[in-house]
Order: sequence, then structure tokens, then C-alpha cells
Amino acid sequence: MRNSTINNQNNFQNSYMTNLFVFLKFSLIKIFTLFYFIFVTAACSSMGVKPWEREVLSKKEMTFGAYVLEAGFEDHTYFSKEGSSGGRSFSAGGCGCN
Amino acid sequence: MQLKNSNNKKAGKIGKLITHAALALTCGITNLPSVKAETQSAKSSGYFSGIRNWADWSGEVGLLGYSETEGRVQAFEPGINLNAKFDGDRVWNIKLIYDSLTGASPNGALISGQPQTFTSPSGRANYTTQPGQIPLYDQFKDSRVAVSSSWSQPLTRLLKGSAGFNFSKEYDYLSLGFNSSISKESEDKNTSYSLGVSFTNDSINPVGGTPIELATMVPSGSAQPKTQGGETKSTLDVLLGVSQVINRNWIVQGNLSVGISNGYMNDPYKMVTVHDDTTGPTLGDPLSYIYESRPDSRLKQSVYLASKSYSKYGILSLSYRFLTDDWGLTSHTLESNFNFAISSNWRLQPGLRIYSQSAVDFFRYSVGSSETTTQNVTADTRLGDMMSITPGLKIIKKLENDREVSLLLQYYMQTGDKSPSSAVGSQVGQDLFPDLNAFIVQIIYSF
Repeated sequence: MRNSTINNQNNFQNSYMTNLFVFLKFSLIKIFTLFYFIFVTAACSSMGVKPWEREVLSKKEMTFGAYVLEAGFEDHTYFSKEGSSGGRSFSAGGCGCN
Repeated sequence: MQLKNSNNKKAGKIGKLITHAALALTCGITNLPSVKAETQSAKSSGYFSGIRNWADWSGEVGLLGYSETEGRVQAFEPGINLNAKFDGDRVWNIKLIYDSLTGASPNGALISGQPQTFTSPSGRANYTTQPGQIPLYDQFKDSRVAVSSSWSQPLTRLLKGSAGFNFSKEYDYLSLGFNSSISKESEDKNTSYSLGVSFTNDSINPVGGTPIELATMVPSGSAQPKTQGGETKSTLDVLLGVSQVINRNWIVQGNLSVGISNGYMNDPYKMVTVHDDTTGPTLGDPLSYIYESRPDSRLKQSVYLASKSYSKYGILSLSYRFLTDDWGLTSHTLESNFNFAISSNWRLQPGLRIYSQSAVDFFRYSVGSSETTTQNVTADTRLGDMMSITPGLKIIKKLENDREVSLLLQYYMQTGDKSPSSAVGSQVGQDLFPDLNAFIVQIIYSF
């Protein structure tokens, strides 16, 4: 099926384990993100609002993920023309776009 | 992504059916001007009355229009997203999208100062590109139907879970996926943590068969260097997120995502120019074309940060995504918009998206004729060094009962390195990375 002279071919069955190992390796970005989440969670223990202070936060424009169709249209458009996908939700895909 | 006319007609009929059904269902559910499920008398009659009373309905129905300049790709995409909310904060969601694409799509070959002839994906015809023009396959037609659905409900007082599936079908591509997520709120509801997992399996059956990687394109009528039987690809995504209310006017969110894909990662319709690299008057001229080759796996990691803040002037939304993968690609995405009222029922939302990307390690504009190409290589500019800017303006009309209708206008501008240092001979002076510009229109009614 494939050209046997191609280099860098990973065995299909082992590729998940290989990629999992790569993910688990130390990387600067993961450490930074971990510290960010720890800092936010710890520092934000004194932040927040009371239930009766949520008038503004209840607005649709103040809600993450409120505009599902618009976000889906945009994700599909950008995913089809660029090399990146996902981030704010699961990776866009399910098509031969990228 | 190529499609025969007979299958196009079938997919077109399916798309029209979905569009009509979506509009009829939406009108029945919303029954303008009323929206929310009202306390109807037990004697309410009619099929749509029954549907309205079944749950507390909300959602969106909309249309995307996409049109690239220079006669390239055009897309028409109606869609509907419905939420049925039941007692106990349980929600059933279903989303239907229909894509119809036509136009001309780049085949990956490099612009040249001489005419270039290519074999169509079916292998039964040729097409020619004029000097100085982007090699485009202009018989590109495709239709895609996508369905996704999910169920979410509270598991405990502060814990919520959801599970769903997504399915899409186009002529040469089929995708089926399952996802599940769990989210936990703090006691004061100011902090929310979520963890989601998604697994997708794709089946690819390219028109004319799967090109053998790095094989040389042969003229139509000859035996094509392709295999039959199709290919597969599977993807596992994990998303970890947290959102935090800062104060009564400010909320932030952060996501960490990892995606692992394995299987057939190539674009079967893309090729790479092999140029003459011998010193002389023919240096840089295209000699032949080889089908691209990408790695069998891809590991993507991204960090996404977002903020929404309110002031008396309006609502400012900001987001930033950093993405990197093991193909060598790194990207930065910055999005912003400002939503403000111009009257009691009208709002405007100007916005701007800026995207920059560094190329994958195996991106090449073209390869030399004396090179022994055994490594992965692609000339797909979507994986090259590039950036895009997308200004936009959204006009929103607020209606009764939390409904609204909006019109979003955007202009997508993508640019890359037109004169790379790798250009040789006749390639110098050619626009080797033509700009991609597109008009985008979205009309959405939400209820």
C-alpha cells in the first residue's frame, strides 16, 4: 500500500504509545501552563461574585461558547485554510480539509 | 474532495432536505413571536405544538457563505443547532450542517512561467494551467453532511457530565467520533473545571485511488500510481479547561488541549513540483510532479486563554491560542471583538483575528530534480509559513424573549513568502505564494 522507501514511518500499533511518551516528556509550555492554572486557582480563591451579582455575567455575550453555530462555522473555515485547529473546543475535523 | 456529478446531485438533495427540515422545525418550535416553551393548555393541538411542549427549546439556525477571490473556492453552508432542556437541567443537543463547495482548489504545484499540464484525480483527463497562474483544479465540487448530538446532565450537585457523537460524510471521506466530558463547579459557582475526551475514526477513499507517496504523476490514460481500498485515520483529543469569574464584570477561561492523530495524514490531491536544478537556462523549470507524503502521525498541543469583560461602553472579548505540533508547526492566534449597543435593540460588534504560522519541517516550495526524495514533503501552502488577518463586523438585532438575528461580515486575507530564498532560476520573480482572500458572510437567527 505505501512506498516502502519512505523514512519516518511509525508502526501503526505503536504510534499511540510513542506519541503518549512524547506528550509525557518535560516541556516548557506544559510547566508554564501548570503553574498558570495553579496560580489562578489559588489566587482566585478570593475572587468571584455572590449569586445576586451575576446580572452582567448572565448575558449571552458574556458566556463562553454561547454562539455555537458561529463558532462552528469559523472553526471549519479557518481549519480548512490553516494548519491549526481546536483549542477552545475539540479539534475541528471530520473532513478532508487539513 | 472531488465528487462526481451524480453524487453531487444526491448530496445536493440531501442538503436541501436538511435545510428545509431545519427551517420548518425551527419555525414550528419557535412559532414566532413566542419562543420559550409556554404553559400550553392540555388541548394544544398540532405536531409542532407537541414538540414545543416536550422541552424548553433554544438554539440557532444559520447560513455561512464563503467566497474566495480569483475564482477559487466558494462554499455554501446552512446549519442548525438545537438544545432541548428537560427537568433536572438535562439537555439534549443536536447539530446539522450541510457543506456545498465548488470552485478551483490549488493542487500544490508551483507557479511557473510556462504552461503546466496535470492529470485529474480520476486519472482520466488532463488540465492545463497558463503561465504565471496558480495551478488549480477547477472541477472541484464537494458536498458534506455533518451531524452531531450530545446529552448532558448533572451527576451530582456540582458535577455535570456529557456524552455525544459526531458523524460526517462526503464523497471521499467518512468520519465517526464519540466524545465525553465532565465538569465540576466550585461551591460558589465562580470556578469551573472541565475534562473532555474525543475519539474520531476517519475513512478516506480518494477519487481515482490513493496516490503512492512520492510517486511521479503520469499522464491520463496511463496506469496511475495509485492503490485502491482506501485509508483510515484515527484521532484522540483531550481537553482540560478552567473558567474563573474575576468580578461581576469579568470572566476568564483557559484550556489545555492535546490531540494525537494516526493513520493517513496526506492530502491525496496535492502534489509537489520537481524542478530542474541543473545550472543553465532551464534552472527552476518544472520537470515533473510527485504526490506529497506526510508523517503517519501528528501530535498537537495547544494552550487557549480567553477573557470577557464588561464596561458601560460594551463587552470586550479577547482570546489567544498557542499551538505546536511534532511536525514543526507553531502558530499564534489572537482574536478580539467589541460588542456595544447603538440603540435599545441594535448592537454592533467589530472584530479582528490575527493568525501567524511557522511551516512544518517538511514543507518545500518544490524539490530539485537531482534530489533523492525519500523524506516527507508537502507543498501545501496551508502548512507553510504564513499569516492571516480577518477583520469583521457583526450587526445584531435583539428581538423579544432573548431571540436575536445577526449578520456577520468578514474578509479573510492570507499571505506568505512570495519570494523565498529557495527560489532558483525561472522561479525567481514569480509569485510563489499567492495571496488568498475571501469574503465571509454569516446570517444566524438564535432563539
